[in-house]
Amino acid sequence: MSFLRNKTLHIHPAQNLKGTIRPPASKSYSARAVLAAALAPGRSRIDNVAPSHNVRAMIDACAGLGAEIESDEPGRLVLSGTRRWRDGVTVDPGNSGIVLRLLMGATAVRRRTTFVTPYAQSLGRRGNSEMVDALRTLGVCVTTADDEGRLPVTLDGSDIHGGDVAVNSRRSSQFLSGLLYLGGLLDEPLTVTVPDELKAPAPVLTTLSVLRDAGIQVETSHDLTRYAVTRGTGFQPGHHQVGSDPASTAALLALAAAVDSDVDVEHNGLEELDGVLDHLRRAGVALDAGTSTIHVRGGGVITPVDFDGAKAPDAVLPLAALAAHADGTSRFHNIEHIRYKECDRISDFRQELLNAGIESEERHDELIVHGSPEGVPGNVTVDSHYDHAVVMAMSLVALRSRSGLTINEPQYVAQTYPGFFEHLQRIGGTVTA
Amino acid sequence: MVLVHPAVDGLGGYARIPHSKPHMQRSILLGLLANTPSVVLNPAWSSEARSLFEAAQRLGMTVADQTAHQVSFCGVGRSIQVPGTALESIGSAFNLRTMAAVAALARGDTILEGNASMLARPVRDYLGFITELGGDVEDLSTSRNLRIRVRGSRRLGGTAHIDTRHSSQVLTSLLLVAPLAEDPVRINCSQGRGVGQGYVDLTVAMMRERGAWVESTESGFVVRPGMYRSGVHEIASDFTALSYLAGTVATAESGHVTIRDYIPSQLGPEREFLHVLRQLGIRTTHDPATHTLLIERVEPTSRHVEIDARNIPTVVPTLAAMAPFVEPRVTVHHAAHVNNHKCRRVDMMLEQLRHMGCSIAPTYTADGEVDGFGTPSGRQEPVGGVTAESHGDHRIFMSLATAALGARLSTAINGAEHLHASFPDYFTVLERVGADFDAARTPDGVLSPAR
Repeated sequence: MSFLRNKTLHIHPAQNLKGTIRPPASKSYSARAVLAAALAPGRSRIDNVAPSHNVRAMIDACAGLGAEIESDEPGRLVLSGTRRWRDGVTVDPGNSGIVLRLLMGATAVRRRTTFVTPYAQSLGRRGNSEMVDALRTLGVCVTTADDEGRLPVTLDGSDIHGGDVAVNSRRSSQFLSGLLYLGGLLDEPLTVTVPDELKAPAPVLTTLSVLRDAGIQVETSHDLTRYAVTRGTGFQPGHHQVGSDPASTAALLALAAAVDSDVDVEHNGLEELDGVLDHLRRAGVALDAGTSTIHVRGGGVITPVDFDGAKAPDAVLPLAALAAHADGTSRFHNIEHIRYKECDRISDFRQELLNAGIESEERHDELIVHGSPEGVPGNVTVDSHYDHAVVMAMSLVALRSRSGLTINEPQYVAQTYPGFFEHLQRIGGTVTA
Repeated sequence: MVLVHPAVDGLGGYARIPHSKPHMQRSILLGLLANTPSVVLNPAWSSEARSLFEAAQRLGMTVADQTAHQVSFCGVGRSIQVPGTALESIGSAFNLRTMAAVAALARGDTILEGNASMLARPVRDYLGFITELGGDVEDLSTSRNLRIRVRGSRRLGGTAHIDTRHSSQVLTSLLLVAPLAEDPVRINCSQGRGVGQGYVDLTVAMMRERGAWVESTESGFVVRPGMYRSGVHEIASDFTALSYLAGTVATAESGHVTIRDYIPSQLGPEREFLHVLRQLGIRTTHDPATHTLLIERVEPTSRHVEIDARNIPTVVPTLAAMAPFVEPRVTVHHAAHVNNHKCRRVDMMLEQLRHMGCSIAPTYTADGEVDGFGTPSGRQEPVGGVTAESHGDHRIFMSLATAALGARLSTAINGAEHLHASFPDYFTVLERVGADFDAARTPDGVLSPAR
C-alpha cells in the first residue's frame, strides 16, 4: 500500500531473487464475475476476487447501479444482484476498458446511464465506436463526445430491442463481450457476428465461461465469429471461483527469468496465458510447472524467440522486456490490439524501452526487440503511461540493469497488482521512494 | 432593497439551483490527496471553493481541463509540495484549517495567511492536532494579519484531541488527512456529537467512497493508513437552495416547479427535509433518468406536523417562512442552535414574519430558551406591505422573499447584496418560475440584487 502513495519509485538492480510469490487473482475474470452476479436476482458469491483497482471500479459501479455487495472476508464478495438496475446513474469505469465496455452492454437496457472517466489521457482517449454502432443498431440512443465514441458517453435504452448485430472486434474483443452481457438481459434473442476478425479470443472465452456459469446460454460458431444468445435466459446467482491474473503471472515469470533466481510462482489456475510457458522454455528459462506452482530458475542466457501475441495479449510486454536481454532479436506479432489499451503498448512502450537504452522497431501489428544480454546502464527515468503492464515490464528492465530505473507514476500498477512492489521486495528486489 | 410582489397568479416552470458547496470543498481536497486523476461534475464555484482550488494547485495539484460543467485535475497524494509563498485563505476558516492539515503532510514549512477578521475568530486555537500527530504549528500573526507556519512531518500518526463544541471544521480537516499518515490516527472528540454533525457525516461518507478506512468509536474516530482512490465526484444539488423553491410552491397562490439538473445528495438531512415537505403538503418527485425534481402542492399527510430541526439547521428559516402558508399546524423543535449561525436566525425570522403579519410564535425550552416556533392550522393571508430586514444574512433574505410571495401586498426586503454567498442567481431563477419583483438589472440584462 505505501509504495502506491508515491509519484516516483526507484527499482534497484537485483542480484538474486528467491522465495515464493503468489500473483493476485485475475482482474479479467473478477470483473466479469462481479457483473454477472450483480445482474442476477439473488445471492452470489465470488471467491478469490482480485484486489485490482479495475475490479474495484466494477464493484463500485455495480453498487451504484443497484447491486448490494459486501465482503465478509478478504478475497470474498457476497452479492445480491437485481435485474432492475437504477436509471440515470453516472458510472465511473476508472481506467478500465473492460469495465467500461461490459457496463455499456449491461446498462444499455436502462434509461440514461452516463459514463465519465477521470482518466482523460488514457481511457478517455480510447474510442468506443464499434460498441456505439452496435448499440444504435439495437435501438439504443447513444450520445458521445465525438465520432470515435469517446467518453463521456450517455446511453438511453428506452427503445432497445433484440435482433442481429455486427461488431468489429479487430481493435478489441471487449465490445463483443459487452454485447453478450446485453444479450442476457434482453427479452428477445440476440445474434452477434464479428465481420472483421477477433484478434484476442482468450478474453471472449473467459466471458463465455462466466456467462455459462451465470446461466446465460450462448451458441457459438467454431471460428468464434457468430454468437446467439437465447431469449430470456436471464442471469442466475451462483458461485464464482477466480483463478490467477494472467498479466501479473506473466510478469512474475518473466521477472524471475530475467535475473539469477530461484522462485516459486504459486497460482490458482492459469487463464489467458496460452503459449507463455512454452515460450519461456524455448527462450531457455528453466521452468517446472506443477498443478499450482511454477518453479523458475532464472539468470541463464535468454534465447530470442518470436511470440504470437494473439494467444496471450497480457503477456506481451513482460515477455518483450525479457527479450530485451536476449542474445538477438525477438518478434512479437499479431498484436495490433494492444495499441488500444491503457496506452499504445507498442509505441509508448517502445519509447520507454528507448529511454532505458533498448533498441526496438515496430510495425502496425508487430514489436521487434533487439536484445542485449548485459542489460542497460540504468539510472534514467521512465514513465508508466497510466499502464500497469508498462510498470511491471520496466521493473524487469530495472532489475536486470546496472543502476536501476526510476519509474514515474508507478501507482498505476494497482489497476492489476496493488501489491506488486511489496511482493518484489519479499523475494529480494529493492524498491525505494 | 428588492420589492417582492404577491404571486397571486401562481408560479410554475423550470428552475436550476446551485450545487453543494460542502461537497465541492471536500471533492477538491480528496482530489488533491489522491495521486491519480479526478473529475468534478457540476462544480459549485463559490469564492471559497475557488480559493481552495487555487491553494490546492500551489500544493501540487495539476488541472487538466476545466469547463462550466466539469473540472479535471490530478492530485499528489502524500507528495504535497511546499509553496514558495504564503497560502491565502481569504477569510475562510474552512480553507485555513484544511490547508493547515494538508501542510502537515509536506516536507517543509508552509505559511498560511488570513485577513484581520480571522484574528477575532478562534481559527488559530484548534490546530493543536498537528503537533499531537508529529508536525508543528507556530503562530506568527501580527495585530493586522493572521499568519501561521505549519511544519510537516514524514511520519504522522498517534492520538489527537479535537474540541467539537464550536465547529466541525477542525475535525473534518484532521479526518481528511488522517489516511495519509504513516500510523493509525485516533481522534478523541470533546463530546460525542458536536456541532455540524451533518458536515462530519458528509466528510466521512466521501472519504469512505474514496477508499479510506474510518471507524467511529465511543470517543471519536480511528483512521487507518491508506490512500485515496481517484474518481468522479458528482456534486449534489444544494438542498437548502432547493428549500426556497419548495417554499415558493407553498406560499404562492398555486403552482408547481420542476428543478432541472437535480442531483440528490443521498445524505440524511436532505431526505429528512423532503419527508417534512411531504407532511406539509409539498410533494417532490425525482426522475433520475431526466435529473429532474417536480415540486407540487398536494394534500398534507398530517393535521399537525412536528419537526425536529437538529439535523436540518439550514432550512429552518425556510420552514418558518412556509409554516404560515400550509394547512397543517406546524411546530418546530430543537432549533435553538440555529440562533448561533450568521445571525440569530430563528429570532430574526419570527420577528420579520410577524412584522409582515404572519401568526407565528416562538416555543421555549424548560430553561426559557427559544427552542423553535409554531403556527396555527390553516393557510394564513398576511398583509405584507412592509420593509423586512434580512440582517445581512442570505438565508434570511431568501426565506423572507419566499414568504413575501404569499402576502397580500408587495413587501420590500433589504440585504439582497449578500445572495452571492449561496445563490447568486436567485432572482433569475425566481423570474423564470413567474415571480414578480422589482430589482435592478445590470447593462447585460442580468438581474442584480443591488438597487
